[in-house]
Amino acid sequence: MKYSSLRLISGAFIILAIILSESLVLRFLMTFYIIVLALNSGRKFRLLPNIILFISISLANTITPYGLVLFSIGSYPITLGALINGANKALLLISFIYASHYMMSSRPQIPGKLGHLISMQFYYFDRLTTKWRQIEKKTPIIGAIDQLLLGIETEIDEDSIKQTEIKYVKTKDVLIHILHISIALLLLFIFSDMGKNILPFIAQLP
Amino acid sequence: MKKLTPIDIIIFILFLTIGIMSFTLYSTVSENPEVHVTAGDKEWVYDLSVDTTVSFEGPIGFTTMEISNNRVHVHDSDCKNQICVLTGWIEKPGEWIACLPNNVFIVIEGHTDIATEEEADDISY
Amino acid sequence: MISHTKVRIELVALFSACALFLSTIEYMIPKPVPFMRLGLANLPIILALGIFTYREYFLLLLLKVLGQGLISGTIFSYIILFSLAGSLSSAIFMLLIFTLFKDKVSRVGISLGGALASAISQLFISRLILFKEATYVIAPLFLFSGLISSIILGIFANEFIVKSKWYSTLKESKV
Repeated sequence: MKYSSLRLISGAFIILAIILSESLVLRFLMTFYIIVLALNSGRKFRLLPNIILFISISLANTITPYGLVLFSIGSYPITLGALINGANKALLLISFIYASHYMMSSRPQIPGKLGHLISMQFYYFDRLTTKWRQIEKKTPIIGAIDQLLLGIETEIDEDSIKQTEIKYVKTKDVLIHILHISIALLLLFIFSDMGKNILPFIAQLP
Repeated sequence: MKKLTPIDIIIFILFLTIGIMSFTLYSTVSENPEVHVTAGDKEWVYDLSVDTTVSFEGPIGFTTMEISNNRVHVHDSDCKNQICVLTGWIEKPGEWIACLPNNVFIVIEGHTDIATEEEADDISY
Repeated sequence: MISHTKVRIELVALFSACALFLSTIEYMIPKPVPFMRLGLANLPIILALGIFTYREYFLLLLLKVLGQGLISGTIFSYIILFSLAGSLSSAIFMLLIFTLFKDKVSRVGISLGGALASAISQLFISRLILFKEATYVIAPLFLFSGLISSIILGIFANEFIVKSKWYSTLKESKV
């Protein structure tokens, strides 16, 4: 088994757990967890865009009022239930983005004809970015783009599409990923009805 | 510089019209009737078009309200006289249900004029 | 001897790589509102009209969406739904305008039509899964930013077709 498929599998389980989670606190914990995983796999995390996303989706949802009125702006009520709904949706979106980052971080190979086309696409993409840096005169822009595209020959030899080194799985990796999946499922269990009977304070959380 | 064609202008005008029309969608948002509930000194707001069941706590016990198919009623209440339950379903802006012993008051508030809504119904029939 | 189809496929890959390149540039430009997009990556699609066959055109589209999802890492999130719906509807609409009017429409009209189709389909999806009723509030912002950016893109595409030597050799070599 390839290393990249391992991440695909554990990522899929975590996404499943995120979808099934109904509590806001649980969603928050899951989102935090998947962001840490994505960071650990070499992805960047920027706080501000995510906060803007979170706030804008939460506020947008107050259009459909639901539940206790916290305060009113003019005659427009800001309701607790609507904010929680919005926050839930925002967390779902953010966690999906980072789960996807995490799953893609080891560039899984897509098999078949389409996979070949995509490797060709990325080959040209590499050429374009390196060539673009070499062009000194970038104005007028159309001239510069012409220079860039004329400089790239559309005939490539098959060997130049670099096959990324395939990393095979070690037992340790499998154990780590099983741990990730278990943590996600454990959290899901704690917040389920059965878990609420064992730990009553969970039922008090939104 | 390539010239713009009449078709370009037509597509531009189409786009602009849809863009301007989208502003009118603002008003449709606020026209949704809302269900306002007061119990004690707290207030709750729900959308009449979203089905839900909620309980409110008063001095006697719980009063449970149900919203379904753009209508509201009190499903059950811990009060003795059960007037609120017997009131049945309400659906028009301005209509209300009160459970006085339990201090729960439910009213539908809408920005649409009730008269015009009835007129619209007459026309459609 | 390199076969003709192979060269064509590589040209599709090159166009899709340009789309990828432009989407990374778009990603780096800060935007005041999330979901606001300039649609830079749409430029290769606009330019592809009249160069590619239907099959090649939709292959380019598929590569553009997949490539964007891969490079931004959002392929498994529902951002890809927005991207797919927007790209697909705009590409179909642009193709329709182009085949209906041919030389009677410039790339400005095509670009505008594509942006309109894309904005409407994305608003629809946003209403379905993310914002519900609140979509109506962001709709004007969404539509007008699309209007302005697509005009600029269209003007650029017009200029590019006239001035670019690379593009004119492509048009001539088309069999």
